[in-house]
Amino acid sequence: MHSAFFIFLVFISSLSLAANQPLDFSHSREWLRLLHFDHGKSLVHTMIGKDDFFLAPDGATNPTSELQATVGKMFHSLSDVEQKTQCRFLARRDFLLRHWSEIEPSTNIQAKLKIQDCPEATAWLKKLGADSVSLIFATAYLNSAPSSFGHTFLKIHNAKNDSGKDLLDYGINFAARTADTRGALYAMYGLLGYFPGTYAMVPYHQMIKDYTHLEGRDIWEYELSLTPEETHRLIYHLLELDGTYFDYYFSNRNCSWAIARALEIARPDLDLNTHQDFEVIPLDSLKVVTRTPGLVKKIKYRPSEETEWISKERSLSDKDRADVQKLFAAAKKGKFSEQDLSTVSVEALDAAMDLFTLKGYEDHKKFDQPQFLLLGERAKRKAAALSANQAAEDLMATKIPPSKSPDSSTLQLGLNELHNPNEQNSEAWVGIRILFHDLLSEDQGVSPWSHLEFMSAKLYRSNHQQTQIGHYRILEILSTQASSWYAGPFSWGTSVGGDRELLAPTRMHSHAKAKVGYSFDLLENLRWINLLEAGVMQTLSGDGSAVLGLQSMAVAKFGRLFRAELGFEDLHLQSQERRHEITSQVVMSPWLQWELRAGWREEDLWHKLDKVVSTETSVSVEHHWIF
Amino acid sequence: MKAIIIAILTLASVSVFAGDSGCGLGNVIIQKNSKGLQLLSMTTNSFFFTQPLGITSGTSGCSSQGLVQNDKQLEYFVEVNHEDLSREMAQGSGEKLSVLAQLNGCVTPEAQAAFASMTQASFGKILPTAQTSAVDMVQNLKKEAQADQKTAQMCRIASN
Repeated sequence: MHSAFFIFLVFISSLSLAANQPLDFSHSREWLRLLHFDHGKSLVHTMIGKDDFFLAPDGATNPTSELQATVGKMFHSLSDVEQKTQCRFLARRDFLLRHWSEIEPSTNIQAKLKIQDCPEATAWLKKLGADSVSLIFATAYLNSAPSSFGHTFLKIHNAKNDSGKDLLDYGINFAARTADTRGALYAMYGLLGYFPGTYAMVPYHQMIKDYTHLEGRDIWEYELSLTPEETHRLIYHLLELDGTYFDYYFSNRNCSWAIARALEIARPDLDLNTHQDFEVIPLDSLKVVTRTPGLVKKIKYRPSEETEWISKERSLSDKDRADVQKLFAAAKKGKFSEQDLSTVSVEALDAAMDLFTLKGYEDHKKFDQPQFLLLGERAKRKAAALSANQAAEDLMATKIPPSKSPDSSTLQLGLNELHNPNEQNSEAWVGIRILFHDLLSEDQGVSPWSHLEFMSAKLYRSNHQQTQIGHYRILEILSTQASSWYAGPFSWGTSVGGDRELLAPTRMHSHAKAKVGYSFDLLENLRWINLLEAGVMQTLSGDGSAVLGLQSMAVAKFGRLFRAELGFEDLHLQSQERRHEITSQVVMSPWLQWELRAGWREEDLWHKLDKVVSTETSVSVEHHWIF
Repeated sequence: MKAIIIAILTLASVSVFAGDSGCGLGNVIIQKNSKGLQLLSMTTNSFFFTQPLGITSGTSGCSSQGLVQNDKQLEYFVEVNHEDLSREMAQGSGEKLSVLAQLNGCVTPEAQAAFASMTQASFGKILPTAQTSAVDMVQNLKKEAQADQKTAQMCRIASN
């Protein structure tokens, strides 16, 4: 009797000991990710915005409590509570079942765990039929340098759509719910995390339509090696998150973070840098995936409507181009019905249909009926178009995937020779740029012929042993889509930062400017950019002054290896001060992630009638990496 | 001067980082756009929440989601893609046209090719005007597919 009672006591205390086991495992990376606790500031508080995601009263701040509450409600409760909890948190259930022996090692009661049926979830999951996952990257679009960061989302593939029907798959996107917020409030909310961010699911054909048609963004599909089991785990967790949200931060808790996090939950031993706090951009996030061995199986490319049009336009014969121009002009003037389409070739008809699709987004009224007439004529011709797959493959062969672009942060080391009336200096300098690229960088995947710079600085050390910051940018943007016979967009930009005074290198003059103008392609790889500038700038004496100016640059690209720029800038400040600058630079990219640059700059400074000339010659080497 | 710099910086930084923070899809807003409501009506309901935010049902306020009901797959696909489909029918080929063919029961590549040729040949009847709606396009398409012997046989198109 006494021994029986003693054994009973041991049994009871071992059960309560078992109930306390979750302590250590509750801080495992996998469990913390499921609750969206993380390294950095969110370690003591979840990033999930709604409390009803948590089963314990202190679950939002205590992963141990949450694990105990989850175990309790899933496996040690009344049947209806167990079912409700298990079916609500399928990914957590999956996690517990896989790690049960580690969570409750002293009691092997797995055989007694009741796995509840979840008929509605099961039916829904069966209908979805998720078998595998692709990571989808939407590239930048023309004339929007900021879109160079790209956008990532997922495609959930059902094997029954294997035979060329993957457009019927489902896309998973993560976005901020911004409602109608605009302007400065939009900026503030986005930077400070006031927008809720949620995953959403849309048929894939619908999801990519706006990217490829309205926004002119190419789509790169990276098929991943996730197994069906891992794919299910990803979907289970998205179902858990349905009904809740994250605080969306533009800079580091954005679409690319959320998509990478979903993949880490699918395959727990993946580490895709989601713990990184500073900033994460979709293009970097894509590269972390493509650089993970064995994760990417295959790449597919879908050109945007605009890419297809540009490619067709370039290969039109002179006669065909003239015909398309005539049709375009007629449509704009409302005189399309008078056109004789029977003399227009099939190639010209196909190209015109692409152009009118694009233009139709801007002006339905002008282009709907003309497009309809083109379609009718085309249908009479019987000739089939080149297969879409073949066309995409041909275009893909001319493109470098965005995953093979230079990384987003840059470290620079350089040597300068500085000449001004007061001195002659040799200098060494080091520079760092957090994001992203300039006009002379390789441009695969980003908005071409653009500049997007965020947080950069250069530190100079002269042979007189003086060290100072000589250049900084908080933000610099330049978008330069060229004007052509079918499009005449503004080129535009902004610059906030400072440069050093070549006349007196220990001083800097800061500025904040906006730019607008026009660019032209003199040749396919030679662009001439012309801008009007206005803003504020510091004068020689350090005061603020309004500034008005002109900037003109010619930029040339010679394949992937060489790029060159020649430019001049003329700035007039209120204080009868004028700055005139001529710059030239050549860049060579011998290997990906490395650049060699050589440049020369002359600055003429007028104050009233006096003119001072200074020059700076530099050579530098740059290395790109992911921050 | 500082205020101007801060203003330019704030507004510019919006465009730097905010590019895809919105729904990403500008075209289908449930509350304001009847097309969105129409698409929503073809998707399944959520089984978790009365007001879910996206995955299992179509009420995120951003665009319709949820799973498309089986018997509405064809109509949904045409509703979203009818401009591209019109173009591919006129051209007699295309990826979306192939998907449409398969949704019409044309499983083999030969059946899909027959379907595509049929749409090109009957283009004027499938799309009689520039204003032909997606719903009418689906009806016209079914009629022409049934009437075309080769397509009807190869695609096993049932007469309704």
